[in-house]
Amino acid sequence: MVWPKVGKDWSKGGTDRLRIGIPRALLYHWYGKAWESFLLACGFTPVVSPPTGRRQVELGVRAAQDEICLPVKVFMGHVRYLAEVEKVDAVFVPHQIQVEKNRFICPKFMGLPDMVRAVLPRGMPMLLWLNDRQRHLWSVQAVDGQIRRKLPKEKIRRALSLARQVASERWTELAQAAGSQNQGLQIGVIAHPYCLYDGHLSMDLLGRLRAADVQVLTPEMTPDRWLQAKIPGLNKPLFWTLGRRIMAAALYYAEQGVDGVIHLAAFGCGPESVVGELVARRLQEHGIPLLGLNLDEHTGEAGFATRLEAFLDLVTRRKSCCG
Amino acid sequence: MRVTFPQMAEVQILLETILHELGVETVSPPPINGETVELGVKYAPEFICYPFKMNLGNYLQALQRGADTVLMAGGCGPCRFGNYAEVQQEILRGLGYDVKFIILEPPRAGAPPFWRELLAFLGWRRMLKLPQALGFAWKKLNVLEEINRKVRWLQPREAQVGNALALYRRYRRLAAEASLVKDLALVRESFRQELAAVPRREGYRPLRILLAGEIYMVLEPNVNFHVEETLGRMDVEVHRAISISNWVKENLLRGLNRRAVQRQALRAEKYLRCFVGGHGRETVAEAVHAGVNGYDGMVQIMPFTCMPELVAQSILPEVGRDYRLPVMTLILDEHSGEAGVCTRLEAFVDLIRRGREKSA
Repeated sequence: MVWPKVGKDWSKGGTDRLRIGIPRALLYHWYGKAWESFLLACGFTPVVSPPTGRRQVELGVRAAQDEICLPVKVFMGHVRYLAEVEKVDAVFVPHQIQVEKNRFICPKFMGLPDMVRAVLPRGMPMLLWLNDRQRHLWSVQAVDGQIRRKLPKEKIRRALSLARQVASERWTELAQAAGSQNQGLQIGVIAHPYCLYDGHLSMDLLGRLRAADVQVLTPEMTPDRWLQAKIPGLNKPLFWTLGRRIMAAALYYAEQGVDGVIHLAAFGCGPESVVGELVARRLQEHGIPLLGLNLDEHTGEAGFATRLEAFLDLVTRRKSCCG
Repeated sequence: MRVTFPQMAEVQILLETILHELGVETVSPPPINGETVELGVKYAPEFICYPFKMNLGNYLQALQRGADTVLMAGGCGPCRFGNYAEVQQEILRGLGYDVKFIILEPPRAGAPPFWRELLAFLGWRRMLKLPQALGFAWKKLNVLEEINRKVRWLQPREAQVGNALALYRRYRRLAAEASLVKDLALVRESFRQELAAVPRREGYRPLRILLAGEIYMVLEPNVNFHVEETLGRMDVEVHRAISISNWVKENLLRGLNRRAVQRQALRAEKYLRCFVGGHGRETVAEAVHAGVNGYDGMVQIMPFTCMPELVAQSILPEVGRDYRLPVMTLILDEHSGEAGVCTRLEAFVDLIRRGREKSA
């Protein structure tokens, strides 16, 4: 195995604390704050890359294969930024195969560390965070072996329980209604968290909607009851965590009687091509307008804004004339 | 009940054999052609992978010819294939077809188990005949694959171009039509004799290229622009580990082949540590295999947006560097053109050949 070890004798503590880079991409938008506090409690200095900007996109596009989806390219960009600009001592790479039982995130998440290694400068160590069938989220087994071997178990436990607490705070924050509470338009947005909460990738979709005085629903606001329920018309449960959330969210929006739904997806996203089709068919049955927006590194802001405006106009007019 | 199924290399012959043995009426879709592509692309989601679109085109063509039931496999992720049938079903019903899907799901998918589905479809009488039918189809598959393998070996070595392919077409048809085990044995025997009698260029050592990637794109000649034949015409010996029989062994008979699966995992481990769905890890393992065994090059074939193969593609350059193995990736979909694919393959083969001449 050619996984380089994290250097310096860091287990002794002291002022020379290791700087661990956390890329602000992919599931950082769910778990990032918790990872940060975990690393801090373990005695590292977490360095989070700045919010996505043109620089990270460019670095990532250059490093990754052409056909990979934008969020993964952006992740690579953040990793390179941390390694090349911030010069961190190691990069924290979440290897999240399953965060729920029997459900996967996406094949690209499964191969993430190996893909990252191909773009990292030679010898740059990685700290992994592995979640799979046996290693549940926030369990001791999820922590990288290098940390587990050097730190006392008690310290890791304490750090993890802190992380769990921060994570649940983040969930409540995400689940709280965003946008205005007035009786204007109500729009449901379905998207993966790393597309939706990344202002650069989503062209600040949430901000734009809020500015247009629209009440926004996001997949994170969908009640648990809906997430656990069986999806009508399917023989078996969907096997993607995020796809399933999107599906459930769309059905929940339909039940809530939203005025329209916006589907924000990365170009070439595998699960979305399947889930998007299933969602579109169900929304059509309910007679709810759907706007599909695809993102890639060539997406222009003007085109995006125009489509969004046109959709909002359409929904407004539809509401005022059809009640 | 008139049953149809997707077109994929030998699958048609295989399923027709099994279903005929059981006395079930089948309506095979025509071989993939322009109309299949057109229909599939028209009704499938835009960003779904190419095999899905071809399947859908197949079904539509077969439904127009009177089929009313589709036989299809399922899956439990993370590759999209596991949800093909679910979405295809909704699309066909949305188009107004009254079609029944028989989806054979693996036990872990959380759907009714496949044997119950099969039983409802076949009934007890036919179910009892199933083992025999499967056994015969398996023998036929082995003969078909042997024909394919040996012709690929012969094609670059034959003295007069065209003999090997003629042999391939004739014996493939004969094997497909054989309805008795005895006939199959005869076909195999006479194929071996004829193959040995084809005049060859003595002492010629052709380039060896390994073909790997997503199973559907690698196996179905009508979507990969007959890549095996094309390479063979360039005097290249094409090898591939991916085949229907290997898929059956590794996926359906996993318990009997745990060793082979572990060996694959072990080969890939240095580069890719975990399963990534589909054939992603197998592709990396194949690349390591090609590197260790001194192949001259490797061609990876995948449909556009294939997730597992994209992971493999990101890792292959590293494998190629370590073993000095030239790797080319062909990403195909409805926009690929035959001339473009041929030109790229030619350029790749020329490059390898020149490299070999230089080092020799």
